Amino acid sequence: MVDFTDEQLQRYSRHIILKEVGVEGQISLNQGKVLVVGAGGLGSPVALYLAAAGVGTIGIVDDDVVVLSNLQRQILHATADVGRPKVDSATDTLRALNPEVQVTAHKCRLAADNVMSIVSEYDFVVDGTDNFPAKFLVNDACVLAGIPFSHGGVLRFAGQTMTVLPGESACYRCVFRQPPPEDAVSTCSEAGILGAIAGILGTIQATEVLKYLTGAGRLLTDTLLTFDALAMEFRKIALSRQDECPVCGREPVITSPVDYRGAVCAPVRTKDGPDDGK
Amino acid sequence: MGLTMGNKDTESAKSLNLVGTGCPMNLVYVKVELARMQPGQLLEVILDDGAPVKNVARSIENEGHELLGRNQLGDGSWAVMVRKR
Repeated sequence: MVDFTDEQLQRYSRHIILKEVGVEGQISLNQGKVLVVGAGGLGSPVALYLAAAGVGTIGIVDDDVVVLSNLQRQILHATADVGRPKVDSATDTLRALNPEVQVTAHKCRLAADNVMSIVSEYDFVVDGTDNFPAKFLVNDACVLAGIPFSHGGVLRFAGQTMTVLPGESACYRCVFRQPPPEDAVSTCSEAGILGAIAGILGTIQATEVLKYLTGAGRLLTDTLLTFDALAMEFRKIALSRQDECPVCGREPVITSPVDYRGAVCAPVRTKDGPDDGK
Repeated sequence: MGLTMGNKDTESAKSLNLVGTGCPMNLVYVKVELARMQPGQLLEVILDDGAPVKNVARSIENEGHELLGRNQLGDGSWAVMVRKR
């Protein structure tokens, strides 16, 4: 059971000497399968830390290509990657960091007709998306499939995150019932984001994944963590499951994933042509 | 390397010679060896004098394993006897 190579022992030594991780925790990380939805500002630090930690299988979902304006925060990608599919750039970066990790590229956009089959291959899902329809889609699919996930969102100088254990803790829909109207939400070009904000939030999400896989500590469940970096204030808001939640409540009305039309702050490619939402 | 702790169990103890192995890899090797053992089994670890014996012994105890004793050997290194929790 315990048959690490000497190289692996050195690579993971700072994990192994942690009481809360140890040899067993590192084995759990090496056996873990985690899906990162979005190879952007949040997905970049998440995927990098998961690969560095030796998480055995990392799936990356993204249908976009790298553009110059991504590089201010999307640290999986380098200048030479501009124009390449983000999943290809991400795969190369993660393999260079840790060749032992299996990276699975899902070059597609999550939708009602593919989300269940993709998430069901994984132990944990990280929401690194940049639009509300996708966040609700990830929530609903993970709740329906019973797969734990981390919600994350960032804007300007602020961020929020919560961890969901379906059937045990409050889900995203318990808190935010449905996507806001499209015209009520700032778009990227109006709002902007300080690059490092994505790093803060994504790194918190990565930490939750590593805690989940190793069993260390207490997860950010039934809690929304928010921060405002201008004042560098962090707040925890207590949450609870809602009986009337449309997806995880007593009488769920959502029994399969739902596609919401339109997107906020993200290019959408449809058969009719691109609508970049800007 | 033998060691007498006044405990007949020590005769069946596994031994791990970590002379020349610095911190923290010495602790890594001890934890890997302990993970392979059954609760209650004994492990004799040979550690360098100074930081290695001090740090590794403290960490092992902190993780809940029992330190049965330590003996300085002729070359200055230490033999530490551990019972896995």
